[in-house]
Amino acid sequence: DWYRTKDIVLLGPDKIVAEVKRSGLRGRGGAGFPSGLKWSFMPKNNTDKPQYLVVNADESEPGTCKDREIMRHDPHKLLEGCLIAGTGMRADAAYIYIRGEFVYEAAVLEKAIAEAYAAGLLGKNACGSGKDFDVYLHRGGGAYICGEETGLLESLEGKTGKPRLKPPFPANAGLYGCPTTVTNVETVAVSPTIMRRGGDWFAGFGRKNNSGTKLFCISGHVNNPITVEEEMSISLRELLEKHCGGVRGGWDNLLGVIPGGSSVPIMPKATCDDVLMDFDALKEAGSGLGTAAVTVFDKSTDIVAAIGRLTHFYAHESCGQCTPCREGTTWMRKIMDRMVKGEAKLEEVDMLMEISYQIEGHTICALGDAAAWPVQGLIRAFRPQIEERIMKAQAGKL
Amino acid sequence: PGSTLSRWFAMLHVVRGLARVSAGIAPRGRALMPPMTRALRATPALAAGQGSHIHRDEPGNTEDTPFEFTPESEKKLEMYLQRYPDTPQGRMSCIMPFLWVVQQQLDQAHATIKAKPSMDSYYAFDAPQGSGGWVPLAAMHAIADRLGCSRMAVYEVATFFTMYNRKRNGKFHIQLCATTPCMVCGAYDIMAAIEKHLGIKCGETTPDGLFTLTEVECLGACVNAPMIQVNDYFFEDLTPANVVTLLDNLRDGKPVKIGPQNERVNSLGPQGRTSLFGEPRGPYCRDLSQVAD
Repeated sequence: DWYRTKDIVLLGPDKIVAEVKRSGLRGRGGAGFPSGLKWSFMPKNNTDKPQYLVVNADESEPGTCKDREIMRHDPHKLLEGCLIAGTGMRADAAYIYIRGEFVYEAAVLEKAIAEAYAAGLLGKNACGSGKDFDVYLHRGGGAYICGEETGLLESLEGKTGKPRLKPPFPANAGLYGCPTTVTNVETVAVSPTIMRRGGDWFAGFGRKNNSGTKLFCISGHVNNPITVEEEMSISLRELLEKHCGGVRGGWDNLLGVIPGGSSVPIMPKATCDDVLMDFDALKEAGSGLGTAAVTVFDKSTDIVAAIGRLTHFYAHESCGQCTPCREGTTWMRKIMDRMVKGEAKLEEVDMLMEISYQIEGHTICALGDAAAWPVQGLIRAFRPQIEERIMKAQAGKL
Repeated sequence: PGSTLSRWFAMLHVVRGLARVSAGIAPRGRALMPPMTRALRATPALAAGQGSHIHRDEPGNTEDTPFEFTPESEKKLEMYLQRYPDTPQGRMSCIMPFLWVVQQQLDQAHATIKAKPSMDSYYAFDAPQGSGGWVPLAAMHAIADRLGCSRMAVYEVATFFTMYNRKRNGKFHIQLCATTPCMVCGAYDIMAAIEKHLGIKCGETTPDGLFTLTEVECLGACVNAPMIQVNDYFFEDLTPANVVTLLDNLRDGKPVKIGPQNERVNSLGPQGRTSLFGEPRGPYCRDLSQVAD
């Protein structure tokens, strides 16, 4: 860490962004937007307003625990990344927004920031390169919606974390109205390594358009739940067998997998048998890579209750700003609560699907989509289970 | 006068109609409907673990309850003010850190939690980090006065975020994560074990004021499921047995192991290491003068 950072900073913003574009790095926070392209959206000739890099360390997606590993064990990778990414996007300062529950990680980061300032690596004349760069830590207070980029900016500005409409995009009007880019911890932390080892080296991992390595957090019914950094486009089966000791009870005991944090649809076993873990392959399979938080369910799981609990999560975390999300998530939660007990009608399965389509895409931010997709995934993949439960309850057998 | 009277009659009609509906009687002229059980409190903010977002005066938490920042808190406030631009908007950014400072100041339990020496003995912090405290109304007013912003701005932030406790909790605030990755690993069994051991239900505080149990959303330690957060510390990899031991040790002030409660090291799996067996390969840094545009 911090090896020849001065030389990298002196390469200048254009070369840094070009290298990141060459590496094919895609955003690691869930959306998978090409990072080089995103960083190049920042204004290049702006002199009247400061520009900011905001690091999104609000890791609240259920299943995700990868950023805490970077922050508590390798904080200097993140700080060096802030400086380099900040140089790439011509930023003057970086704010790291960390979720309030990560108390230890925040303490470690504060200490690391103090160490970096003391060693002259940040602050005035960072690393002796002539660039002034400040990094500040801001603790959140326990809201999933503040992981959404504009929700994060609102929260950083000291208001409630209710997202803004886009356009205007943060690159034009972000934090305090200044050009800002919000990036995930992992994306920022990998940028010094990309600069040092080369974008072509990074692009050598994974398939085309899905290059690099990714931190996978595998939780749920596996024998060895673990956070591991693996090459992109590894097959799901190999990931689980190699690093997680396999599914509890053997591969055939698998019921389904949520491959990217709770916001992506669940995949039934048939899809899991041969799917690759990268952005494009999972999108083709009807799911998504998201944050690569793999949650594994074996056949002992009550899948309706599991996804039902997710509807509780989204209803609770909805900020309440726009009607489809606020009312829709609560409505879906109530229907799912009844479906868990079987107290529903068979027509309501289709009704639930339709409600989720009404929420998806009609909201200010992506929490509406994120709330709709698990329900759609459940109905698409596990409709027989729901219907069986309803019919059993109607027949009085439950 | 004529129109006021007719308006009054119209309102009476509406009120009567509402009264009928809420009593489960069918409105006149319509087929009988089942009693409406629509909850008035259906919005997400109210369904949160904090209960109502309306402040109710209680002894020790009224507008007139005195609240002062301690000298240590003042130093922290000064430090946070330096982090943000010196503009009215920038000062509003300080609301969240200031609320944390208030909670840190009012944390009663930190000194009693002793971390067992372990490989990660630096899990312990010298100072409370805020999750064991609470925010009285007077403190919110003090923050608003200090920053020159409206009181409503502070209220908004304090009610939006779940970690700002607007009511005093027990000495140890047990926050149990029960979102799906923890749930399928047995989080509700842990909750049942805690409820049975402490004799309270989720959301309540023990009569001796020691423990408050709440269910919270994903805490971000999913590979170490199931887990709880007690004040500032994460306790992971719980079983119904070891969580009872943990709570007893906390109550008695005995040393507790922070992080995974079994033999796991951080997020490394119980079966051990599966990667990073040696040094990274290849040159650590290439020739930077060769970087193309």
